[in-house]
Amino acid sequence: MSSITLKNLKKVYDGEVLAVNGFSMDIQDKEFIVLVGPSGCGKSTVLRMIAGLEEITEGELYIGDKKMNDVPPRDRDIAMVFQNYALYPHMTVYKNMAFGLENRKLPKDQIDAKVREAAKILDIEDLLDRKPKAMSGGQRQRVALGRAMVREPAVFLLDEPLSNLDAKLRTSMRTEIIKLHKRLGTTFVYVTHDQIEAMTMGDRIVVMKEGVIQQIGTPAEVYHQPANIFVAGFIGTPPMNFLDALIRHDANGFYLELADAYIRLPEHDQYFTADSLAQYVDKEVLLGIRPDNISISDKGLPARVDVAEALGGETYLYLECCDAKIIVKLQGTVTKQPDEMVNLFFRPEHIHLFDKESGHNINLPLIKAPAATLPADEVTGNVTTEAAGAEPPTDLSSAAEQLTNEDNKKEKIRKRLLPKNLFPHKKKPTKEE
Amino acid sequence: MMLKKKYFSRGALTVIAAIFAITFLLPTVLTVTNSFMSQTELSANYGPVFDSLKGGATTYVADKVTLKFIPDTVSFSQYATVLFKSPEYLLKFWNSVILVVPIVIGQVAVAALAAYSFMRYRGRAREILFFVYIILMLMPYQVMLVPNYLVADWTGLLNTRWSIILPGIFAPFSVFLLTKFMRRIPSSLIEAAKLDGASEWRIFTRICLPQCRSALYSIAILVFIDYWNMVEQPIILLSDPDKQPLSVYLSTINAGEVGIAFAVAVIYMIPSLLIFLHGEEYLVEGITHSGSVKG
Repeated sequence: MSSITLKNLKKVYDGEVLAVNGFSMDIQDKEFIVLVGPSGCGKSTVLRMIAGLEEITEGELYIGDKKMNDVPPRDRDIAMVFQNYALYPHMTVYKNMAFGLENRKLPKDQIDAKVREAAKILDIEDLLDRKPKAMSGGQRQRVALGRAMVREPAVFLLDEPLSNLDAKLRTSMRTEIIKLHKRLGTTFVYVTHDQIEAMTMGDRIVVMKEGVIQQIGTPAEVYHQPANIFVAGFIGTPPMNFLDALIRHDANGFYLELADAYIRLPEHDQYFTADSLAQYVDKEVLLGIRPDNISISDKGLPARVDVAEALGGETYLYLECCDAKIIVKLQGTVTKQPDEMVNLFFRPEHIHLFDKESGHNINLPLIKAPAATLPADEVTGNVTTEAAGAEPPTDLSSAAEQLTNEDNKKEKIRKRLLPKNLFPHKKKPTKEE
Repeated sequence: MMLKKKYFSRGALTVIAAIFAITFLLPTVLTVTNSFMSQTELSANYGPVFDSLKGGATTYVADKVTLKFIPDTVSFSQYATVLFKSPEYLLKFWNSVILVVPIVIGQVAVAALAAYSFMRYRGRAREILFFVYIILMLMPYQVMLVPNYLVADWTGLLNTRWSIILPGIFAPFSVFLLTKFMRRIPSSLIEAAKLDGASEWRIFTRICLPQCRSALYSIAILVFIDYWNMVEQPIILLSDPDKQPLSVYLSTINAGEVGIAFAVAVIYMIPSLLIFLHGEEYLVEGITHSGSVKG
């Protein structure tokens, strides 16, 4: 059994630099955990503490049922793949892979069998007599994986193993590592600063900042239900947009007051509740919305185009809106000129509200089921809303009329989920008559 | 693109370099070619060159010297005399070998262990100790001669080979050079070896040392050449002439033995030359990567 339990781990360097603080989590057997965060957030330190390469200042570490705080690295039954691969440059690939087994005094025939089997799996059989300097980055990466594999460890630790590879190779190696995890059925702990790797590889993601866990969750949870401003901004490419807003309340319910616009908030168990919003009435909050949850409409929040980046399959619009910089991700090629005015439609079910002081997501505890929030790729589409300045729609049917692509199946799904009075308006909503 | 102003043409630079090369090579070429001259030819060229003083030392007395590079007839008589008729030269050669070889082996071994410790263990004590090593390294050997003499006398090692071998083994320069080299080894390699289950000794011997091969060769070559040519230490610490190395004995060659002096000098050069030629590549790499020379 290769579960890992980390209890309140703390790491202080030289008595003054706090690298990791209060890190607690349970990693299940055979789970693929990704530690992600910016440089210096302590993710590698956590990995090294698990490996035994760093002393644990405080806290407890268990691998299986055994406390490992004072167990030397070689007795922890772990293998690690380093960022720079750490292949022994004076040894051949074969010797590199066999070294760990020789140290464990395995018979030569067994060593040979294990090395050749791993080489076959990783497709490096032809490289066994080569030295690391005579190999490409991708090949070295495979050898590093092979060296870890032959040991058949209980836990695999991977410290940014793809960061030295080019973009294309990184993508293919990502897939290889996922396959390897499934094949080996071993616990993987993977450190990266690349949120794409985190999103695509991990069963669960641990987002860290300044030595503290910000959020633990599945990739979907972390993406759709970010715990705080940091997670919301860190996960997702392009990053989430943030705008200052005031929460107001009137007879129709809650709405957001932006620099020059209003957005009616849905009062729905799956999004916001009166209880959660009531304590923020007339208070400033931060509105967060992902670039792919904004669309261009005939009517909505006015925004000025700064730059339009057409990438072929998608277009990024960099805009100024409500005294803030906004990025919008649109499907297909959309041609917009700098300084052109457009109207933005914020999908209300994807709006996040953050407490400005604590940074916490106001609606996080209320988000219950993934169905409440459609995956980003299902809701993106060229949706057009009604012309700016019109009276706010008060029910779903009138809102539905704004849609020009009625036959869009995904939009129909979205509409079914939408509560009433959800659309952004130029004017403050009037009291319902 | 700005072109660098050239003060010398390529041809002029070649001539200047050739002049320097010839100036440095001339004594060596002269020694080698003259070692194949007969005693008669040497006497005709140089006349009496040295004279013995009362104390046994020699003095330069020649008033006319004709430098001649190509012998009229090639003669191996000087070599025959040195190798087969004058056993004291071979004895001195052997003295040099049994002094220098243990120093080279010992110094490389001690330096490797010390450098590994300096690389692996961190802390204030390490920095202070390393600083002391640098200070010691900067001191000229002559400064250490008197303390070495006193310690050798106190320990009863005076006039034994150990009085030279022991200070030679624990020389700071090699430790400094090798530490600088070892610090270039990525720490991840050491960590990978630890995770691979290697003991500290195995990390040292299987991971660290093989990567320091060029530095080890460099140190061995430099130490060999340094101690092969030593003069002060044996003169001060070895009063018994039978224990003194060839480097000291060369200066006591008498008048009328110029030919033998040339032959002995050639034989004396051979080990240094062979070692240098064997490890030339490593020497350059080792010194460059140790940071002693900007690469």
